[in-house]
Amino acid sequence: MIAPSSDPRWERLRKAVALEPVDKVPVCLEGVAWCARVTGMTLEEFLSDATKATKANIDAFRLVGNADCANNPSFASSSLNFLWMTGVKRPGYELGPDEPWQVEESGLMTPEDYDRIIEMGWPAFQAEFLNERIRPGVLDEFLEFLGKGPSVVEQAKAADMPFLSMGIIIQPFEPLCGGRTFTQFILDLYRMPDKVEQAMQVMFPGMNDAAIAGCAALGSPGVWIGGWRSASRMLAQPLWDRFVWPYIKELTLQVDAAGLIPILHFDSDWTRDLPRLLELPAGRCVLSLDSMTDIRKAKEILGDHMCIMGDVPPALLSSGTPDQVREHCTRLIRDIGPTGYILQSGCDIPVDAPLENVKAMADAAEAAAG
Amino acid sequence: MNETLTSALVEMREDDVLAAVGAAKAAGMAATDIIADLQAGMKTIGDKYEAGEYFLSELIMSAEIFKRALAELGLDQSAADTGARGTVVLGTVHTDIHDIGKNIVASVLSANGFRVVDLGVDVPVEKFVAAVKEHSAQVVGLSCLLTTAFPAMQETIEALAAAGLRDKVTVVIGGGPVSDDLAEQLGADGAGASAQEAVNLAAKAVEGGAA
Repeated sequence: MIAPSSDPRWERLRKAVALEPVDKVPVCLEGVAWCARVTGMTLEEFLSDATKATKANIDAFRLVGNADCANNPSFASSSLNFLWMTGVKRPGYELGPDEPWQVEESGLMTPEDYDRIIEMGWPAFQAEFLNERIRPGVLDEFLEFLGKGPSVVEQAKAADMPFLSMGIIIQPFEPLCGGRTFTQFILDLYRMPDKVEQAMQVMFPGMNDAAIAGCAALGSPGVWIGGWRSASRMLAQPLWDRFVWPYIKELTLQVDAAGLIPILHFDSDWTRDLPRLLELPAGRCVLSLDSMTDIRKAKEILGDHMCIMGDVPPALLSSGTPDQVREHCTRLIRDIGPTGYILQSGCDIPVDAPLENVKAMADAAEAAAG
Repeated sequence: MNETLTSALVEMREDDVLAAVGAAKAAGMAATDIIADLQAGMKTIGDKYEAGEYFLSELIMSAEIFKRALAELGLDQSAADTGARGTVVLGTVHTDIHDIGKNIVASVLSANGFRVVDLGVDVPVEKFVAAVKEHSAQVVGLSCLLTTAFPAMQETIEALAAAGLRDKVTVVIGGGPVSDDLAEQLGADGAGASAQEAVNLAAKAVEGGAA
C-alpha cells in the first residue's frame, strides 16, 4: 500500500489507487528496455546486473523529468524464463549486444510433465526444468537478481524515484502455457482438462508466497499479477472460468491481505470479463491495460471500483509524433481520468520510442492539470 | 450437408468429428464433399467468433480437429489446398522470432480453405519476394510482435513493389502492436487484429467479399 506522504507524487499515486480526487493524473514509466536505449546503455549491459538496470531506469526517469514514478525499477531476462518456462534470446549471447531480447516459445514441456508436476510438486519440477531444459544456471541467475532487491530499492530511494512494484506473480496457466506453447496448451485444455487442472491445483498453493513476502519485506507498494496468454480473448468462457479466474481472484486476495496493491498487469483483450473484476476488493487494485482491452469500457464498468492504468499504444509511442501522443493522452485523461487513473504506456514503452514521445505523454498530464 | 459432422466440429467434439468422417468415408462419400462439410463448420465457427460467441481457443481447436479429420481421410493439407480459395504467403518479418500469432493465423487460414505458404520467423525480405513469385500468391501476411520490426515490414513491402509485385498482392500486417494506422503508414493494405480477421481480409482480397 502507499502511505500518506508529503511528496506530491506519492500522494497522487495513493489517491489514484484509492479513487480519490488528484491534483494531476499521475504518470508512470514502464520503461524496461527503453530506459537502456534512451540513456545510451546497451541492452547487454542493462541485463548484466540488476543495479545497472536500475541505473538506466533512474536516468530515464530524470530525462523525462516530470513523470511521477517508475513501474518496476529493475529487470532481468531470467525472470521471463521463470515466468513462462520458455527460452529467451538475449542480447550479447544469442543476439547482438543491443538487440531486444525475445521470448522463444518452443514447447520444452511435454504432456507427460503434468504427471511429473503432480508427483514432484511445482518448486522441484520448476528448478529441474529451468536448469535442464532451458539453460544450466538460469535459476541461479534469477535468484541472484532477486538477491539484489534491497540494493535496487536503496538505489531508487536515493535517486528519489518512486516506483510501484518489486515483483511479478502468476497463476499456473501462464508457465504451463509458455512451457507447452500457446497452441498445444489450448489443445491440452480441450483434450485433458482434468489432468491440467490437477497439475494446477498442485502448483498453486504456495506458488507465489515467497514473491509476495519478498515484496512486502522490500517495502514495495504493490506487486504485479501477470496475465498475458490467459486473456479473455484467448479463451472460451468455460475454459477461462475454470482455468484462469479462480486463480487470479485468489492471488489478488492474497496480495491484498499482505498489504500490497494488486497491480493486474493484463495484456491482450480482457474486455469480455471486465465485470468479473468487480469481485475484487474495491479501491485497492490497479488494472493495467496494454491498449487491446477496451479501456473506456473498463472505466464504465470498473471506474468506481478500481484504478485503471495505461494504455498509450506502443505503436503510437514508437512511430507517432509528439503531437499525436499528446493528443491521444489528453483524450485518455479526459475519458478515463482524472480520478482513479494512472497514465502509462500500454505494457512496456517500446525500445525504439523517441524520448520526445515519452515526454509528450508526461506533458499531457501536466497540461490537463492546468 | 452432413449436419452430424458440421455440428460436431462447431461444438469442438473431436471424437465425434473423427467418427463422423470415418462413417462418411465408409459410406462412400467423396473426400471433397467431406472436406466441404468440414469447411462449412469452420465458416460457422468463424461467424461465431465474429459475433463474440467464440474466442481464440475455439479457432485453434477447430483447426486442429480439421487437420485430424484430413488425416482420417488419409489426406494432408494439400488435399484441402486443391481448389483453394487463394494462396497466402505468411511469415514473421526479419529481426523478429515471435510466431504464436502467425502459427494460429496459418492454421485458421488453412482450415478456411486457403493455401498457406508459411515461411517461418525472422524471414528475410528476399524470401517473401521469391515466395510470392513462386506460388503466385494473392495475399502476403507480415507478422511481428516488436515495434523494432516495423522497418523490416516496410522494407518487405517496398521490395515487393520494386519487384513489380505490389499491385498483384494484398499485403496484410498482423501482430500485437499493429493497427490500421500503421498499415497505412507502412503502405500495407490492411491490419488483422485476429486470426479470423486475417481470414476475412484474405477472402476480401481474393473474392472481393467477406469470408
